This record gives sequence, structure tokens and C-alpha cells, in this order.
Amino acid sequence: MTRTEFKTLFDTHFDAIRRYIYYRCSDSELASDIAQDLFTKIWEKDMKVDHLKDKALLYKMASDLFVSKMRRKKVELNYSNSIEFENISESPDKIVEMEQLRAKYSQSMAKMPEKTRVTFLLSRGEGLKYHEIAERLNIGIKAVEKRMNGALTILRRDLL
Amino acid sequence: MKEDIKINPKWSKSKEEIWSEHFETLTSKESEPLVSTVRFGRYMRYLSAAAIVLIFLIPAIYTRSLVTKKGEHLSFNLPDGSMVSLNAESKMTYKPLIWWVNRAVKMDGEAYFEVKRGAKFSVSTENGVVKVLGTKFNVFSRGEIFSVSCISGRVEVRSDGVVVLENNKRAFLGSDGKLIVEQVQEIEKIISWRTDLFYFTETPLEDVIDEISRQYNIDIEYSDINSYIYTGNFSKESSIETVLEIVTLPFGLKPEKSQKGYKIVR
Repeated sequence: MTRTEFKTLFDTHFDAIRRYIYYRCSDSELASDIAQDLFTKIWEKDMKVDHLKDKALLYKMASDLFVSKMRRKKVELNYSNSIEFENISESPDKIVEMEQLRAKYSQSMAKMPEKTRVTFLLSRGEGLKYHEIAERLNIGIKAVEKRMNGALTILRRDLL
Repeated sequence: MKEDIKINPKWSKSKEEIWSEHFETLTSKESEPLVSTVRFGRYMRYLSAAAIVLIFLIPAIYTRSLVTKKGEHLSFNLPDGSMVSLNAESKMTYKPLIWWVNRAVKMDGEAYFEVKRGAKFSVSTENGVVKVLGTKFNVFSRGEIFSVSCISGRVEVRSDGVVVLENNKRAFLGSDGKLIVEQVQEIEKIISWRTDLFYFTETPLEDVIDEISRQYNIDIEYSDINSYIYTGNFSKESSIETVLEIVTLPFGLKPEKSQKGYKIVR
């Protein structure tokens, strides 16, 4: 892989990969580190990765790196720092309410099974279409739908 | 409401910052041809690491064995000029390639050593370890019987307990398994086996018969003779029948020819 090709790969996917790791651990530093390790590895081992066709491969490798790093660790998940609300003005008198809502969302997401949570975040958190999610995670669209339903059920139960 | 959330992690560094800080230099160092040298360099590093391990490992592992069968005696010179004499049915091993670093032998059976002065010399047996500096000594280790006799020099014997022997002293395992030291009057008798003369002082008849069997390489059966204690000697010049008769006579026993060799009967 030439340097130019590698830069293209990096520019296209670096943020997406570190976001994906973030969805799994709610730790932005760790997510950045793992993403950086992944791309370093790709460069140093001279792997042939196509920036258009090998999306699922990238996600898989990132997942493997994440798992091997986190093998013995139990993480406490807290997404409050990254949750933002659209269409709702965060005026001063609503701030406490917002904080409470953030906390509720974070707790609810933390409770979700990992695969459900990651799928939900790729969809609502990042705006990906179901078929795009299916391609990256290497699963079928039906599976994506199933996980989304699960996520929404949990959210409804916790937030309403 | 739930449709309106967005997830925006707070990154400490932007994607561009990470590129310029880490990947910019990482990628500028390498160009196409260099990539294959990196891989080659890696192979070479593994190879040389493996080679170094082998260079140290092989001498540490390579072991030479000396074995005597029944009826055999063997004399042998170790790399530093020290001499070993093995009695029948004995085994000794040592590592020739690291002899200069560590003079250590393992043995089972009976052996007489004349050790040249030098670094520590050790003899390991299942019953204990003998350490010497430059000396003449005999080691007997068969089954549970362990006896070390110092002819000259100094010898350290380590088993259940540690003792140091000087000339004419012998250490052996008592019935409680601990080392006992005794003075020996005619220490040459202990190593007379080297000249095919065998002396026994207050030795259980069993052990005497075993030694005869070992020296003549003939099977000898016996039963129930533990309680007999023998003091005497025999020379391998005599026939085995003569020797067996001499040894069993005091106890009202006699040897009888059997299919495999001999049997001791009343």
C-alpha cells in the first residue's frame, strides 16, 4: 500500500473506527488509542486494505484489538459526556433536566447488551442507514432490525 | 424525544492532529523497497535470537552417559583429568560441553572418584549430593542405601542433613534416614572392588549376595535371609560357587544351581 492510499484509508475511516470503539467502551481516550494502534499496525505490517471494499475487515480488526486489550477488564459504561440533544434548547432553566435526561440515556444504553447498543449508536448516534450498519458489522439487515427493536424497547421502558 | 439524541464523544485530539503527530513521520520514513527490508530484518532478528538460544541451550543439555552392566568395571577420564571408576551395574552422566563451567555428575550405583584440584565438583544421587574440591572418595548409592567414603581430601555430603568428611571417614544413611558419620579403619577395603576384591563388614547377607550377583553377572535367588549379617571377603578370582559357599556356610545355607543361575537354600 502506498502512502497516499494509506492516507486515504485513514481519512475515510479513522473517525468511524474510533467512534465504534467508543460505543463499546464509552472511553474516548481508549477508543482513540485503539484506532491509532490499528492503523499503525496496518501500515507496519503492510496490509492490503481497500478503503471502499474492506469496511467490515477494519471493524473486525478493531474489534479484535479491543477485545484483546479489554480481556480482563470490566468497564463501567458512561455515555453522558457525549450525549447531545437536538431541537431542544439548552436554556439555563432546563439544564438540570437535561443532565437528568443524559444520565437516564446513559444508564439505559449501558444496560443494553453490547451488540444492541453498538447497533443503536451506529444508527441514532451516527445516522447510518441499516444497510450501512449491516455492511460494517458483517451481519444481515434483519439482524440490524432485530437489534434496533431491542434497543428501542429498552429505551421506552426506561425513559417513559 | 428519543429520536433527537446525537452522540459526540469529546476527543482530546482531532483526526488531523493524530495524523500529523504520529502518522506523518511514521509513513515518511518508509518507501516501497524499504518495506521488504523491514520484514527481512524481522526474520533475521528472530533467526539470530533462535541461534543464540541454541548456542547456549545445546551445551547445557548435551549429556554423556557411562553405564556398566553386571560383571563390568569401567574406568574413565573426565575432561579436566579427574578419574572415575564405575563398579558393576552403575550409571553416571555428565555434560562435557559445560564441564569447564560446572563439574557436576549424576550417578546411581557405585563409583570411585579421583578429582583434580579445581572448581567445585559435585556428584548427585537419588539419596544425596556429594561436593568436593580435590580429593579421592567412593560413592555408593543403590536403592535406599547411601554411603560416601573419603579416602583423602575433604568431601561435603548433603542428604537429610549436611556433613563434611575428611580422610578415613564415611557417611551413610541410618535407619531414620539421617546421615551418620563414622571413622573407618581400613578405608582401602571400601574401594577394593576396583581390584576385584570385595570386603564386607557387618553387611546384611542380602546385600552381599546382590554384590556377588552383580560382579559375576549371574542371577541369584534367595528368600528370607534379612536377619543374617556377614563379615568377610571374596576375590573375583574365585569361582562363583566357591564364593557363594564361603558366604552362606556360616548360616547353614548353601547355593543350589537353578535354571537362571543359583538359589540359596537351607
